[in-house]
Amino acid sequence: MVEVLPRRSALEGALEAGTFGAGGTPGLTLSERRRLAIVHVAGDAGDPAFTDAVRGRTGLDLPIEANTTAAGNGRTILWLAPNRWLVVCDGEESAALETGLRDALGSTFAAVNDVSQGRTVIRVAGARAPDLLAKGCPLDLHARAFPTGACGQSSLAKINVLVHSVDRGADGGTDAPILDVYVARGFALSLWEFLTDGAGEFGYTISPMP
Amino acid sequence: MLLIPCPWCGERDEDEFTYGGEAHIARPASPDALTDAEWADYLFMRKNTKGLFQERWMHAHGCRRWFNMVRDTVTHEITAVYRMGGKPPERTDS
Ligand SMILES: [Zn+2]
Repeated sequence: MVEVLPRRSALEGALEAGTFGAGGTPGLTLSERRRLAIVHVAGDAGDPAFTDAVRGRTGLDLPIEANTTAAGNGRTILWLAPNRWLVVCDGEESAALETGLRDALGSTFAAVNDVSQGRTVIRVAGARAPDLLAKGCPLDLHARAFPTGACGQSSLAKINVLVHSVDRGADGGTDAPILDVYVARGFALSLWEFLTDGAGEFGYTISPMP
Repeated sequence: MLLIPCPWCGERDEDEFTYGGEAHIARPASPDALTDAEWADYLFMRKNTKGLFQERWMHAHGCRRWFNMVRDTVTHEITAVYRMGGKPPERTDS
């Protein structure tokens, strides 16, 4: 019998809820998005069997255009490369999502891998969120260049990251802008220290672990 | 710092890329048949162009695709970017 290890956050022990840094109204909020199902999918975007199978399982059209995402049904698909995507789901078992995609794809030329345990997702939200990321990231994070639904892989404090522009506040969202930062689990703590250090001058709130 | 136009991701900071040296060097079909000098020529000998140079880059922190680029080694001006397997544009010396 295989013993399944319980899933633990890479930020456990480091993420302490509260308000920190400069006084006044905090400029941003940091939180961890936990228990996400994150599945890496590779395949040929020009093969209808591949795109149809992904649509059948997720209800979403694969974003073919570079640095874009598709969202709906509680799921998001993020473009990584011309033949690679991340399927992210809140509230679904990652194993079920992985198996479901694999079953839907059948013998289609594709690869499906559950990478949920290998990624940490940090949500940076609030008016100063882009300013914080801009301290260590060469992406153009202005809402004009990085609107709602955009994504981009780059480096942040010399660490490989995927940044997802969840909401830039065009619809008047109160927490906007909301930017999700995907990072390899082993770098999560280092990135967390960079973010909390850099956020000091803006004042920031850390949401409790859900 | 260069602003490099990845064929997929668009303009990105040079820090996101790694350099792959001279482009369009074909691997010999039968390495066994080569002399040591010919093999060394394939492995090590590269042009030292002053001017437009065809070279390979990889978007390491982005989409991780390799591509070709034509860059002026004097001015750093980037005059063309094209995908792997693509033909270099006309009128470039290298
Ligand atoms: Zn790219």
